[in-house]
Amino acid sequence: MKITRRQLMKYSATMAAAAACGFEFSFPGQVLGGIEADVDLWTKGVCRYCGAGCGLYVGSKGGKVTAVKGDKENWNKGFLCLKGNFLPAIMTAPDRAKYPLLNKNGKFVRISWKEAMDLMVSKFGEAYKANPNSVAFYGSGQSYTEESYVMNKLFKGGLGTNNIDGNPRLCMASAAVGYVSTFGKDEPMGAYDDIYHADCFFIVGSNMAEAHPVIFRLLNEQRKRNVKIIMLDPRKTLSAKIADLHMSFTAGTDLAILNAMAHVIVKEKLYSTEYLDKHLVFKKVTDAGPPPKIEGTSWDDYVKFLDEYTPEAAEKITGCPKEDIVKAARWFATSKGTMSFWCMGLNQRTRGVWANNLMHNLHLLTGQINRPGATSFSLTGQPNACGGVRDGGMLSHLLPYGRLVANDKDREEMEDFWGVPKGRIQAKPGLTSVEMFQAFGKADIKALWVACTNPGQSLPNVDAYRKGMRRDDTFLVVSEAYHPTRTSELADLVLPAALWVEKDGTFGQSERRYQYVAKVVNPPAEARPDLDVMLDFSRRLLTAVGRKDEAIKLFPHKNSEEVWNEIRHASKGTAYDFMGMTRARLMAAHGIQWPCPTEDHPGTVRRYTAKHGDILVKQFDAKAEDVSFYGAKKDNNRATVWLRPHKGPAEPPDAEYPFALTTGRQIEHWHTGTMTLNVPELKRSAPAAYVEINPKDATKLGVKSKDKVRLTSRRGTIVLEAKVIDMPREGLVFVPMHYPDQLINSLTNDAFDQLSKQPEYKICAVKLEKA
Amino acid sequence: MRNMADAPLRPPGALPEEQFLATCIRCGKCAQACPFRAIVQADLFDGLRSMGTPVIRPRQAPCYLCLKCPPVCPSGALQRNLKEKEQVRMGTARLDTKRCLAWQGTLCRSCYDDCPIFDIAIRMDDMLQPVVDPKHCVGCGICERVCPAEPAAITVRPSGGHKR
Repeated sequence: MKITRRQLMKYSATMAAAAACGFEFSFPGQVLGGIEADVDLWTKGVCRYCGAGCGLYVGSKGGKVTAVKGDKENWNKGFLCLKGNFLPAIMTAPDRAKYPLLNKNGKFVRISWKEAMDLMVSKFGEAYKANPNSVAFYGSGQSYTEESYVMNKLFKGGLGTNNIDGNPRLCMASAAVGYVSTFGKDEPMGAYDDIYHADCFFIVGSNMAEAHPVIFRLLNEQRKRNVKIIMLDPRKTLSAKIADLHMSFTAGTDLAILNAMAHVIVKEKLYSTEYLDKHLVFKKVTDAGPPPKIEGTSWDDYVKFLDEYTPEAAEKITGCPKEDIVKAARWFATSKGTMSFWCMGLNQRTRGVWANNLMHNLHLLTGQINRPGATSFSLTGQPNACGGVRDGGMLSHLLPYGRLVANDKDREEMEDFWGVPKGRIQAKPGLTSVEMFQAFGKADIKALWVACTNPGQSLPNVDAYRKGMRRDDTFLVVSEAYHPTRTSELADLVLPAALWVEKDGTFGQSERRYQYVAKVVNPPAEARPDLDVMLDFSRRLLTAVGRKDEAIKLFPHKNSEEVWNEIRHASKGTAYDFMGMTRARLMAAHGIQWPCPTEDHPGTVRRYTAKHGDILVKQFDAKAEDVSFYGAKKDNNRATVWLRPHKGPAEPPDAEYPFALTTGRQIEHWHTGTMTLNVPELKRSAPAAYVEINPKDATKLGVKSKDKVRLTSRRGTIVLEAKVIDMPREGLVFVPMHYPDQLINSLTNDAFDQLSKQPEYKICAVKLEKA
Repeated sequence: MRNMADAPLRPPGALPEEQFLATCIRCGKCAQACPFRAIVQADLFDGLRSMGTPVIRPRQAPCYLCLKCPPVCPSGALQRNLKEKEQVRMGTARLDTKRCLAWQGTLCRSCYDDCPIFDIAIRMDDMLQPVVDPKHCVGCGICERVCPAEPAAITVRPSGGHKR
């Protein structure tokens, strides 16, 4: 309802009169709001938030983002979720970082960019000269591909240290290592398009309804076709509401269920003999190491390995009814096409890679893979974790486009490509996220640059690392669009960053789709695009450490397009090949999926199958008729079925800490809330954290909704409002992860997967008491 | 802006509106008992007859159904026979589908998520759009509070008293 100025005056006058009589009342909020959005120009772009990567148009007027609308020609068919819908408000939030700030004895004072860069270069240069491995960069799956690439090139190629990692280590590392260990190369072979063709969906550890709403909408639409949806989750999430079969189990025991499903598939002969004969090898680990000793093995050995995972045995371990396990296995194996989705419930685990392998096992055994509707699909949390960090190789063990730092040939290839001396790139992988902050806390790392992410809130067991980030004898630079955040408040130097459409670059989402995001408006005040700062810093730092020639040779780029063109060449000839994705093509298209080796190539919806359009099959495996897992050259282009035993979480509940704590998302917010908590509408819907408690547990504890409850783990404690709801299973509690003033990560466990180095956010033991 | 002709939203257990107005002694005890400060005393805009009586303005603070107010009511204007939140009938939520984000194609489920009669009073239909079931809605106004549309696309119509 609109209120005119005259009405407002009348209203105010009456209220004043009433107030004079001593009555208490409140001012209706809508009087001040209600401005209709005006748009002069619509520019094509991509949503800033999750890894779904919804296409949208950004509406602007007078140098301001005023509206967004979904892109009807992109995969999301014009749909956006609640968060995406309110994107304009994040651009003009009052806490946008506007000037470089120096922390002087706990007070942030404004300095010039020149002073900031001089200081940064001197600190990093000094540390680097003392020890090349005492500098580090911690990047983000939200940076543009060009930004991540430049930093990767500087650290690994220019400085010769592998201490560069990113927050995808905390969310996608297990999925990445899972794909690599099973198929030889990272990234899903399928696409969202498979949703239209699948008859059975197997969803594990993913609350798509809240975390990936637009993909969930697409999935929900398929129910018209009489599909089967199986949901494996200890929480009866909103996603589970649409499931035909919801399988609940004791948190952390899902590996036993996946093996038991394989057991049923083998016992009932529901496997594909074609895949067994032509496309699979079997492997097991004989010594956990490190380094782990891996041995090839046989189908018979695998069958014997599965013997103990009868549905009955699995029910005992997991609490999931055996009938459900049998039913799920049959549906999975016998549908015309089965597509699986999983997310952090599997990845953020000390056995994350194993769990990922077991998912792939099911698809490989049954041949539910490499045709429309049959695929093994990992969901991503960030808009460019896949494109910028996993594909671009900005993790401490990777080099761009499927290359590894531990591989001699891959290192040589990149040294040649970058034009740096042989032997410049270290063979030993650098520090991974948690290790990096451990080293920073001990001052083994002296200078650390954090860009576009918020580890002061998002690291597990965060209090321990916050202490380390506060040290006086180390130097922490934080590039952020907002200040203060729970990380920038700990920084020595804060660099104001341009946000989203204030700069241009490339995003790559879950299904290998690369999309260009155009610049629409200018950043506020002195905020700059990270890419500018990174290029500038790279040249200055290399000069300062005596490599002036390389400063010019390695970083001649003037804009993001020049960086993009170099990146395309880095992908050439690899299994990722996207040479054909010129900037001009990306600007016109609604995303293109790699491989896309030439400019006339339309992009590849399904990989590893020549019949369904993967042009690289013939290039890497000339003899292949249709399916070839050409990433796994060492295994004769065959995928690996891993014998992975069941193993529970690092910290299961016990007598002292009887509940399992799991964390996750709400539809209203994204990650650490720096953006979404700046949107009044979203903050109104979801203003604070709470703890979800099963009604039966709540009765035992004597707790009702809205009561205050204290949660304590071995690492930290927090008081939250209770939400009693039949969603988490008995013995499990859930807390959303978004709120900066309620750091649930004070409690979470920083134990990590030895293969992927991804920490086990999803399960730790807590006790609850009424506060 | 509030419509002055509407009966205001009363705390749980309120007598039918006419009886309520005749019985309530405007003592403010229920407002004091409310841990969420959801109950406020009516001002001029609720009408002269209502002035000083307890009302709930859900967009500012809804009723969280703790049922702490009826026991402190000395006059019987708030009846004490409520045992469970499901018995409360303060009003009924109405959804304006023309302004509801979910009905307009943006994926939103704030009201559904926070409804205390979860998955019963508000359900999601096959197209993932929220639908109110008036049979089960208690009229607490939590949906109105959390609706991200401005003004709220889901609002509580007061029942004019507790139905028994």
